[in-house]
Amino acid sequence: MRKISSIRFSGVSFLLISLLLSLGACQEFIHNSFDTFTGKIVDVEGNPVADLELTLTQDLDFGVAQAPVAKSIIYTIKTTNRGEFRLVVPSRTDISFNTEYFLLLTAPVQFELEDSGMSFLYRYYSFTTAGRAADGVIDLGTLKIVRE
Amino acid sequence: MIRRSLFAVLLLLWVSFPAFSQDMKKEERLPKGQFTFSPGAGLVYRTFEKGTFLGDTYGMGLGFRLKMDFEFRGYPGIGVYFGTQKASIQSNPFLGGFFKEVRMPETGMYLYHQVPISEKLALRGELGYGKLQVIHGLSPSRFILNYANFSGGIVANYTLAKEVRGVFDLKLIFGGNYSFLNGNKIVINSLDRTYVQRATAVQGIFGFQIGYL
Repeated sequence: MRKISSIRFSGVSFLLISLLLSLGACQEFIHNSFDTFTGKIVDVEGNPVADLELTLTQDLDFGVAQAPVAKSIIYTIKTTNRGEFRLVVPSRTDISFNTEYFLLLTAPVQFELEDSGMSFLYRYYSFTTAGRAADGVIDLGTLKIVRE
Repeated sequence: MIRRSLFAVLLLLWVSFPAFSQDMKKEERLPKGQFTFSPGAGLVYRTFEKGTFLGDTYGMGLGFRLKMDFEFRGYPGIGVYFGTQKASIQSNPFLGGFFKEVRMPETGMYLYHQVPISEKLALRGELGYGKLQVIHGLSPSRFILNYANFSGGIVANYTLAKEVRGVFDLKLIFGGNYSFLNGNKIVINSLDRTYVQRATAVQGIFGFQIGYL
């Protein structure tokens, strides 16, 4: 009898511990941690672009035959006189599958991105937090824009 | 808030002082070394220094604190506390608009030394260390920031009723403290580090305490 109750107790304990661990594993944010996205916007001549409006979002609507639209906006900021930007958000865990962000431009400006030696124009720039440094900084480097 | 508390302390001092000399003997009716403990509860209001992350990001509301003091009569005492305070999130460039709700529970302990001013009034100095948590959102979408809290303050005890049923004294407590908050475990870029990790705060407390004899 005592053996059966001890088996039941250990089974319940195992379930409770498993539940607690799974709840912990499902945490969407990393406590005590902020991610910082930094970068610089330049024009085709390499000059810094000041006062350029940038929208940070995780929720882009890629409609057919239309420019992508942010369904929800995290921040809208403007670049500094030196074309630089800095955006800070709470760090997300990878398990949330929600570590992808988009920097969105408004018309008539587009990012000029290179892929396999070819240039492509996009209204948005996508990135993840995979390359986070120890201080939470994700440096997006220098991003080139063109005006339509 | 601080000025009003100070005024209240001074007013009570003034009212109580004439009875000071004759009441001191009554106050010491318990023998030195006698163990006493005193549970208490009160309303708290803390405001953070502007120009810091905590000060600029959160609008503070009223909170409460539960505490328990332990003391050997005539010696410095030790107390523990638990509390929480309501707050709201202001527009800010750090939380990304991800959260609608925030709460700030805190726990800690303090050393105190109490000096009787009159039969009814006593003043105490407190030095404390605790942990303040800033909890955004609800699980599993919680985001928690932890701060260590070093505080010092002055609290007045005013005895409303003595030896109720021969068991305890009922006291009114009011006072304030000044605290330094340090969130040095918070990971953030170097430019915003001091702004986010450091803050000072002023806190007022008003409540009741039961001193078991």
